[in-house]
Amino acid sequence: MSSQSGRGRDDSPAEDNAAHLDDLIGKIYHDLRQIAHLHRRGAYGNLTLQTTALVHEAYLRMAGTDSELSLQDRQHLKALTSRIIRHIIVDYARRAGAAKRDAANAPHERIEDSLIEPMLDVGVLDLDVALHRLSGRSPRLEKIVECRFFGGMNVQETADALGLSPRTVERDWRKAKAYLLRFLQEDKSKMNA
Amino acid sequence: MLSHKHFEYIDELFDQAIEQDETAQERFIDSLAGENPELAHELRELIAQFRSSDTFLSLSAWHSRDRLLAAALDLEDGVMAVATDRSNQVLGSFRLDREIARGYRAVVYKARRIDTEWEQVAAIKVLQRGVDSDDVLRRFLAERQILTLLDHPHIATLMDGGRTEDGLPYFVMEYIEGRPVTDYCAERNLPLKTRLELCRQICSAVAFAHRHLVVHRDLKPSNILVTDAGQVKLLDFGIAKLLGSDVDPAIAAQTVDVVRPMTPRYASPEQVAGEAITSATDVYQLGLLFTEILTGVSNARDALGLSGGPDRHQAPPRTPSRAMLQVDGASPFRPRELRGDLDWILLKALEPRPEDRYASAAELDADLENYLSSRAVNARQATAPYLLRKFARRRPVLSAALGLSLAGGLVFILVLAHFNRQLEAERQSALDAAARAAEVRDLLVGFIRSPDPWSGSGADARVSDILQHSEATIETQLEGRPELQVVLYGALADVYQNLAAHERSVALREKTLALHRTLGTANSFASLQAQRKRAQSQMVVGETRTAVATLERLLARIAQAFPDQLREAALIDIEIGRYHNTYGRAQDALPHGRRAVETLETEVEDPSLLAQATTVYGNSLGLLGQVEEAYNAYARAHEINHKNRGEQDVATLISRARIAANLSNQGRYAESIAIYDEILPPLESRLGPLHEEVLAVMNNVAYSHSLAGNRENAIWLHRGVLERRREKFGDTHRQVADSLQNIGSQLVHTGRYDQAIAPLEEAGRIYALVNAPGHSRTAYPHVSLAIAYAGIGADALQEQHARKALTLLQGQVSDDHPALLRARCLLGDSLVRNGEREQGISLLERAVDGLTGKVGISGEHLEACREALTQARQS
Repeated sequence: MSSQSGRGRDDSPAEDNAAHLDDLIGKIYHDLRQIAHLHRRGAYGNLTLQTTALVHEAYLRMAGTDSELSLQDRQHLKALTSRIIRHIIVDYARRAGAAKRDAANAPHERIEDSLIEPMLDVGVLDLDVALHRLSGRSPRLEKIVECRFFGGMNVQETADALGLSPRTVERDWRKAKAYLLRFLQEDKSKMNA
Repeated sequence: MLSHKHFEYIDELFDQAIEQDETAQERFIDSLAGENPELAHELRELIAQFRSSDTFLSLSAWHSRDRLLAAALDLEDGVMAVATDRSNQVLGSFRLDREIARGYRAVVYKARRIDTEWEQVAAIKVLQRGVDSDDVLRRFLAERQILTLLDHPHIATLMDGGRTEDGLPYFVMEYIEGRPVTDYCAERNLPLKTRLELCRQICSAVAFAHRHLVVHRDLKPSNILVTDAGQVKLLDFGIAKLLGSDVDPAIAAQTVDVVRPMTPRYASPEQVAGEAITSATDVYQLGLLFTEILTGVSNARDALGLSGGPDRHQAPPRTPSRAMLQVDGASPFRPRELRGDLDWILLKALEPRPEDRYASAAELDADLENYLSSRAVNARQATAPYLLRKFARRRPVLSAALGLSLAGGLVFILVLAHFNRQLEAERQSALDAAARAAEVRDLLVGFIRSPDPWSGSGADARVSDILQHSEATIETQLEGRPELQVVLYGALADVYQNLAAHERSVALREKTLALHRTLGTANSFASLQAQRKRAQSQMVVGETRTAVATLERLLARIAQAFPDQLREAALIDIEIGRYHNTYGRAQDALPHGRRAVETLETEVEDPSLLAQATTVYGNSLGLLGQVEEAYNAYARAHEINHKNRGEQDVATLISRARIAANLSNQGRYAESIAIYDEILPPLESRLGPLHEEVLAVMNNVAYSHSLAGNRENAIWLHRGVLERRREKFGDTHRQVADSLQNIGSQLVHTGRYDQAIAPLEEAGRIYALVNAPGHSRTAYPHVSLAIAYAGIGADALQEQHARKALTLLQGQVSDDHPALLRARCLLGDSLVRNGEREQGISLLERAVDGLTGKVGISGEHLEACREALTQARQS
């Protein structure tokens, strides 16, 4: 697992115990894969994969089976899952980018386009960089983006997971997006210049 | 500016600003500007982003996220999961040859048909996991009739669909060898005129699909190939819709579990926003595509500086001619040539709001034609379209005109909307509007028309919803405008008629005819046409007497008042001929058929209608026993259809079926069966296994087999028909009873009397339920049952069924009807055995007399009766 999304700077209580956290991340990662596999094999009667449902399912598994989880852990579980999903996607986009560069030899390899906002020409990696910049200024805004976007959680779920009021989440989500758009704009104009 | 150092301060100001209303914000920022202009600027930027951030990281980004996560979790130990190579697998009637294309949603193979003699190559698209297979297949089956009959020279035919053994949907399509249109243009360095001609070919195909209520939604260069001969072929028509969420966009926004079919680079603003998709969506995609074709830019969206999103804040785009200046490399023509009209046309197609664009590809095509023939283009006459104004103003998004925000892009709605705008503006006189309405009608008349009127329940639920709304719209929105209502009700009635919803169609014709009376145009040609169409529908719903009386009257009226309307007269002749043929009055039918053929051979050019007339004429000849003359007529009809529509067209296949039936009547069973065997697979693949034409052909093959003495084949085929009819109609339907009767009668013929009884009794029960009292066919199972009981030796039951059959037949059929005669002989036979010898022999003699000299099936009856008579005399 890469640590480039700045986990060290995170100030959530669940991360005080680093060893325990690594363990937890491993479990969530494993669960996500397993659920995805089940979906793929049609065990759920549906071949599509929906992030929101995936996060929820992973949460239910963890919260339901792991008796060692503290109440605090439980509350943060979904936020953590959202962060892991961000890792998985960013990691994938990086690898897909590398594969694409070598694509001349393997034209049939299935490579996903890692654009996440095609209209704005924003890729996952761009978003990740912008999110890093945001986290340096406000870790809370970063977490809200992780929950809302990467974890597919709604306002109430995000508020529960982060211990904030829905009103704050609502406002901060829009603020975070405004900042991200500014960062992306700046990056772009720098690139063009 | 947003450095760590200033962040907290800006963030605080930002928080303050967003609590205020817009005016207060302005004042707040202005007050800051004096002391720190940079800070004020940053804050202004942030607030602008804050206001427009709604679409950022929402719908379309969620899809990308889901897709990426699915792909990421798909990795097995860091190795990319590659979709299975299915080369050499067999799917349905095809063997997959080799892979020809691969995308993230599907793999396409070149395939060969393996169950026929003739060489048939196809492209088979196998979808990848990630789509909901059941849903896709369900949609495909619902739309199959429209999609597989989308028959246009520039559209690659969709032939069939199914599911692989491991559950993935696949589609069988016409195989096309060609280059993507943009590559084709670049590689050959084509001049502007040739490029425009390619655009027009594309338009004609898309317009054709729009008339059939099919929106492509995924038009892009890789879906538009050009063959070496310079012919455009559009791929994947209708497939995007099968894959996409076609539900109410509001619901689609909540359930984001669909893999969106749209290709972002060519997506229209409404697709990005998840709003209703209409024919104008295709127009937008054509706008992007044509910009690339005509200017040579590789990404029209970027080159024109289009935001692409529903956000209308963006600066106006560059014109295509300016965009072309950026293209490297020599072009055979200069950007200047695009300036003016072509710029206008392309930008009109690219308007962000669907209602500002051309409503359909047909309108876009018309403007390209205007340009090519140096007429004024309509795009220029539009009033202040968004893209062409210097300063964009924010406007509320109208999700769909007239409040008809239904899913599915139906031209009808757009056309009505278009109308409505015209009416509101009152820019045109009522007469002009009526002329416009005539255009609309022409657009609509072609809807869903095919040589195959949909049977029964064919109407797609969605389409019928829209039609109902359209009807209400005509009623309310156009109240007090009878001259418009009459045309639009007529158009709607045409649509219903084409959908085989004849009762609805008749009701609407009544409305148009009432309006004609109000308008004083009851004797106009339009009114006569409406009456003819009403009669055609009445024929189908069983009001045949009224219908034929109307048709006879119309024929006289047209001859007198509209002697030049020869096509209309021919149409009526065909209809009357058909009617008389159906009731066995070939003598009456013959002159009508003959006259229609003559007119259409010499005066009016309409090959499809000529083929129909020739067929009706052939049917009459056949009924009159002129079997060889009938054969010639059918062969002619086939020749016309073959030439006009191609070998694999449904109409052509059906005309071959008539030839086969005729050969069977001539006793040339082997030839007949050979033809049937050849046409059945393509017919089934185009119409589906339950289509009535397919069932009719199966039934006829069975009949030919039974006449040829291959009774086992016949029974097997009849059982197949029975199964399909049960699936199609349920257990209690006349056609199910027909099949049961056929099976029972074949079993009787092969001496399996005990097996015959159950199907025959079921047939009898169903006929008694569904047939009108006195219907002769109700008697048939009783005739067969009497034969079966005779075979078993159950005299009492034989007598009972023979009597029942006689009661049902007497007075209903002519005295020399073979079934009546056979029933009489069965009764006579049973009476003799029950000791009433005199009476029995007399009945047998009458039956033998009646049957003597008849050919075909009657021969068998005669033989059986003679034998019974001989035995009776000996007893």
